[in-house]
Amino acid sequence: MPKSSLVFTSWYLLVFNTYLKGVFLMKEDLIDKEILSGDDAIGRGAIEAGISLATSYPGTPATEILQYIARHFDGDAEWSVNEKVAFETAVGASYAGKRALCSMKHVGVNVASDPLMTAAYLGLKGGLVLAVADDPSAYSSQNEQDSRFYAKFAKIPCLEPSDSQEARDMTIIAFDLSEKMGLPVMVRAVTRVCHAYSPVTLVPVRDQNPLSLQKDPANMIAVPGNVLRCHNNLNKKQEDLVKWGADSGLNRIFKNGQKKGIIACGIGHAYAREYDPEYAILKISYYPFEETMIEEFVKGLEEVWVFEEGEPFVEEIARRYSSLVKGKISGEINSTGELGPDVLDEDTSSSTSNQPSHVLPMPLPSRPPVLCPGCPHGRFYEALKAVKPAFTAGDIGCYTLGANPPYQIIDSCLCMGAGISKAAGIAKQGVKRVAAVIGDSTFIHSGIPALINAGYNRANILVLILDNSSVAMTGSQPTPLTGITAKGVEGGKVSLEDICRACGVSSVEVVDPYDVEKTKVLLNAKLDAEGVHVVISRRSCILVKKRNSQ
Amino acid sequence: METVNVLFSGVGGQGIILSSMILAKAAFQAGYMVKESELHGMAQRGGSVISHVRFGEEVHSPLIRKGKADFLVALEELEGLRNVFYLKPDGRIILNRKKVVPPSANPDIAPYPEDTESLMKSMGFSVDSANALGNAKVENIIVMGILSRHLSFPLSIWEKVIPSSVPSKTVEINLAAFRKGRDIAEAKAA
Repeated sequence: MPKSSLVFTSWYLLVFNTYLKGVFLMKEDLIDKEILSGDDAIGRGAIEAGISLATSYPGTPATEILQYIARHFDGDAEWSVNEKVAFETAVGASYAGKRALCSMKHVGVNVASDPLMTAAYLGLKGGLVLAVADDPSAYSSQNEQDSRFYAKFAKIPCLEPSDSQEARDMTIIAFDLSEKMGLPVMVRAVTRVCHAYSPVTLVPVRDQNPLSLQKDPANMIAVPGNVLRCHNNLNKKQEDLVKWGADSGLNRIFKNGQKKGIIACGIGHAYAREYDPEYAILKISYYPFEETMIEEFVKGLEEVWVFEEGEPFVEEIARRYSSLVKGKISGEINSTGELGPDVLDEDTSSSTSNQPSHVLPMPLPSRPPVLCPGCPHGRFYEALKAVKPAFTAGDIGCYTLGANPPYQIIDSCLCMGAGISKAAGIAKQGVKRVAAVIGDSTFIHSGIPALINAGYNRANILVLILDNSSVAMTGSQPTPLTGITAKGVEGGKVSLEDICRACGVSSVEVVDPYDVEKTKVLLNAKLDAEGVHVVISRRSCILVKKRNSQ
Repeated sequence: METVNVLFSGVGGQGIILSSMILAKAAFQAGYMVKESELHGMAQRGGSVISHVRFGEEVHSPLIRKGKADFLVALEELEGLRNVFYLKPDGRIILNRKKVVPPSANPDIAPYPEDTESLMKSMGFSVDSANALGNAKVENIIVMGILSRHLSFPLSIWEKVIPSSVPSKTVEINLAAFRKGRDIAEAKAA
């Protein structure tokens, strides 16, 4: 906690300057103003809040949060092997009394949800902020799930910024709130906050918390004897969370006699302001809130819109207090795809990137993403296609582009690490020549248990690990296979072959995908063989080579 | 002052994100509120890239609304056409005369349009076009030079922002490309 209450108050006010109008801004504390992306701003906010650790797994649009911290922070910033480990590591730092930021994309929270749910029950020591980047319209994801539900499910507070300045401010606020309530706090951003740049006023970096390792068995050991008491404590905190929110000014009504209004959450507020001053605005940046706030806002309004990215989370509440609510449930706003700024315009298509070219007299050729020229996956797929597997269960990475023309060789993609498990499930139904394709990073993330399982439970599958020494799709991040850490220094290193052999498989072979003929022969033989066989297709991502040669 | 909206479009690798950051920084140096918005990932993979830059007294949305863009900077012809719906009816297109045919294009279903510039003019837009052949590496900066003639920022701001945005050994080449773009625009106006 900060040293004195006076310092705390003035520093707190400084951070609140964006939405508590008239608060005195202490110029001598300002260093600079910079154009930052929302991701950068969250990273900057975490550093300014005095973190001792940042953990993450790459995932668009969250990746740049950890990258910013790794570049600008002298302390510890790591690419964890997956989001569950990232979150648990952050919990460890919290138990040592230190502040930690854990960042990930929305589907990453699915992976981290086990420790998240129980950490909320037990409570925390040092502040822990979970920064989540949702992807409305799923520009780079498998779904467009809404992370606010996780905050509600876990009974933790959620702050939702509408631009970079707020992303920075709310990250700092989140750390203070986390320590005040002894809970993880979510900061929920979306693509149009994460990858949008706007000015941010930098503030001085606060000191890190001192080391203070706690032993508190009643609140650190989740066993049946502790659960009901912890659950009770968590429930009691909910009232405090609502009260804190009401006093914070994070949710505000901007009303001046208008008869129409917009309830605007997060980025929705940025879009709502474009329709000023015709519409009164209820700005929502904090959950949970007292529903009377909504009731008060909609009173007397002849038309109420709800602007929110994701599911009609707030709209459902609003509908209890007004029969004039327009949004995703009533159908005026598309229930899928991102909100976009054109919400109240006549032709409301939700995704600005998929606009029909109705202005033009002819259809235009599309330009889908393709594998880079010279990509090793391309050569590998030539070989795989030639040997005609019965089914190729795919996974997540650049290699998922093998589902598109000209290859169309990947038959499924579900979530991280699922390729191997799906293949095993199919093969166990008696289907022969079933293959699984998975990248090296995805394999380390969550493929290992699936590989052990396939051998242990006797599935006959061919597991193809495409090892390009990189988490390529997200921008070539390093992994334990390369032995370089997020800060660019040497870390521990593991061997893919050794891991596969240790998983109890029948064989492990390595092949160079540029040798298409040799690969074809090998794949064909292995597809027919009984047991679990691994073929590692090994060649560096060409972007990694390009970067290394610069 | 009305917010000025500039949309950049092109193919991955053409430096669209760099161009939009240069404009955003220039606007910021000139004292305006600015927001820039982009999508990552498709650049390396030859996909479509667009970025939005908005600057003015007050800017809220990071995205330009349909029919509200003052300028469409099209670094590639097809991507320019794809995004004309963003333009105001009297909007201006800064066009780099360059065609990058998508590898998966099917000429029977959707052929690559022939004369992009005439098509754009026939829709009522003003078009400034340039051909950066031989200078492909700096085509994005040449086009910025053309755009700069239509904006109110003094030259000194551009000459400060561009060097701080590009690798130091390319500063001279980029400044020369920028001036070339400005000359092209000036010659056309004359």
